[in-house]
Amino acid sequence: MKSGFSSARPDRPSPLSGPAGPPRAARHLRRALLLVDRLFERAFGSRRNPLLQSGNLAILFLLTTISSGLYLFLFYSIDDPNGSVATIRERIFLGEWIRSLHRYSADLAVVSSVVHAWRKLVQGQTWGPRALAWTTGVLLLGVLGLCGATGLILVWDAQALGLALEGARLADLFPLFSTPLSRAFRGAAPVPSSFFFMNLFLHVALPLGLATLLGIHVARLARPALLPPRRLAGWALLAIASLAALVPVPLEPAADLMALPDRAPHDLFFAFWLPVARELGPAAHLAFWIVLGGGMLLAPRWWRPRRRPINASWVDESSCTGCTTCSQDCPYEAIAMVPRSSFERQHSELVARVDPRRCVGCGICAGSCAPMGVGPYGRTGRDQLVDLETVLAGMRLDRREILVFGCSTTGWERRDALGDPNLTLVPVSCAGSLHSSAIETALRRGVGGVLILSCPDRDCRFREGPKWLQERLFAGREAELHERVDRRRVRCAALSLAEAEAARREVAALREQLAILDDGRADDAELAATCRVDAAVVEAEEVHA
Amino acid sequence: MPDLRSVLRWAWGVVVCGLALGAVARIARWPVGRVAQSSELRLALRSASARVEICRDRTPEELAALAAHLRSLRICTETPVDYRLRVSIDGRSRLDRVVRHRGVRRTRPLAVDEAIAVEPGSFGVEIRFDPEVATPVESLPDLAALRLSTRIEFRAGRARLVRIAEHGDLELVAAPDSETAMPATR
Repeated sequence: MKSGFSSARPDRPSPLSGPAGPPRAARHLRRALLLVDRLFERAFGSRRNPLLQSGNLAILFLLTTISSGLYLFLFYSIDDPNGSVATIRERIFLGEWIRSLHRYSADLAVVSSVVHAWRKLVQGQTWGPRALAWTTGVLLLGVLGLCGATGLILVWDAQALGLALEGARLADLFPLFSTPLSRAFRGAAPVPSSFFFMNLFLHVALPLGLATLLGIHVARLARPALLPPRRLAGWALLAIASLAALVPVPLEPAADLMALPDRAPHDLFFAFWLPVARELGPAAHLAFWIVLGGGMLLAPRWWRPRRRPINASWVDESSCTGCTTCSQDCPYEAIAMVPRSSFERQHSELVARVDPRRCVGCGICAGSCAPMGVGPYGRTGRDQLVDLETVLAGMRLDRREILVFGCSTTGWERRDALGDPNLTLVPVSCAGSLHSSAIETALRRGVGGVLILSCPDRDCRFREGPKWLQERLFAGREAELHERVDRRRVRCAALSLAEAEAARREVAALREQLAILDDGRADDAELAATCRVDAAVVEAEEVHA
Repeated sequence: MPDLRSVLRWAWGVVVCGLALGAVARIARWPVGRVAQSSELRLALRSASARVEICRDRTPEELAALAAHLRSLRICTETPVDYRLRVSIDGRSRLDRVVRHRGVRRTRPLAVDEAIAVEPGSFGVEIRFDPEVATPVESLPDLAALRLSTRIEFRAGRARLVRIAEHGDLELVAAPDSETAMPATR
């Protein structure tokens, strides 16, 4: 067992800095993501930015697709595929609108999934313990694509014929069938209704596979949030319902087996590969899928930062009190409470044990442990205090001086983003890993105020950092900020880098608050510590004298 | 009264949302492909397994090596017969290939699924589908050589299909619309 935390080791990582940043190759994709984020955050703010909740929105859109599909299923006929869809549009109550809703929600499920994957890739959340989530995510996207393609075939128009034909030509590359499958779509005979039955079966059955894969996708997460907040969900559904009403999906004429592929509207969310397959032939089509699928599955290997293994947490068992807080707070269920051996029972019945295969090295456990007995190597609460001493030694300790703990994974290690050269910025790997004792120490040593800038709640690289931070500072969650600490000198805000203006306002507000306090003009009832986290600005209830 | 800042923010939100949804609606019906200017001759052929038995007499040495109760003089092996498909349009060869039986052990039927691009117009088309036996055999029982020689009218954007009819000959499928198929001749 390790006996303690040595800060003298030369390879000791900085306790307050991040575990691993994205590699150089991520720069362009990351910039592009930031650009799109900014576009949306100027309109919605980080708390309601749909791009930050793309994974949740994908599930919402998928559920919308399934529920609208059940209605369409009642009226679809495999004996007259295109005709029955025409009947749905023209004669069935709300048929056209529900069909459009079905199509657009499926399209948006793809868009949301791709944005989700893009975000996770540039944030480096694809390897190590998260490799399972990435792999199942890629498979989910593949099954979703297959499910959508079978749905488009059910309409049996020119696009459907193209999808069926190119899919069959792909299958014909393998010596599986006694007759080439593509022959069925060459016009030698009418396409049998058994084909549409099989297609319909797949279209209905594949969502079950999606549900199974989704279960595995989130299996390593504690308290997975599958759906977006109600307000965002409501707006998203309203938007898609309006789109379906305003721009209904047209129905193209039935497929003509003897017609050559012509210029026709295609749903590129699901049929983007069709032009490639038509132009290049089945062998190149197969190569296209191998490169695309293999590339996505293997992307983490290329993306993973070199020579920077995950700095997994470990437990100083002599400090562990068996309180179970770290186990409860761990967002990845990487910490289990196990019975101690009888020899060690003088400490507690249970002791925390970290599973390094599940630990992502976020350090949230370090912020949860009052006796500072758990955390990634070099980033436990004790290491944070050691590191803070160095920072404080270089500071002009003044009651108007502000110390900012900025979440470095979001980019808050950039001083220029805050536009204030007079504050001291300390990067932390995750705001949730910040031990409350570090805040208390800073204030006791003479720092005027402390501002903690975390990532937006739903975009936390480690899932629950802002949530636990808020609860530890203002709701008494272990390891809580002691009551003796003047919370009027503490602020926290959950903001993305695109909201630098809001962060600057937070700094200004804290400066103003400190000025009021130090000028002796403070009326305690007017001042309150604030924490802008999640859906609303959370006003701290406690105002300490 | 909402302040100007929040009104502008709402307006920007509506614009961003509208643009995003508009893009989704557009990509969901993106026109793909070119207007078809050419025509196509399709061959969709399928015939049951064609096999021949190739027999010979065993040599005295081979017979001597066998147990007494296995000494039959004649030895036969069954071989699938490949076919050769040749298509010429207006006397110009457009396709000439050997069609092998499908399946790993080549026990599945012969199947052809070919498409030959043709300019619109009327052309003389000759199709030959002949058995191709590499090893000389005494006879080729029941192995039909299929032929089709006809004039076909090709229209832009439409395909013409040749298949094996129920009576076993190659046939040109009549066009479903006003396209008139020329009578096929063997």
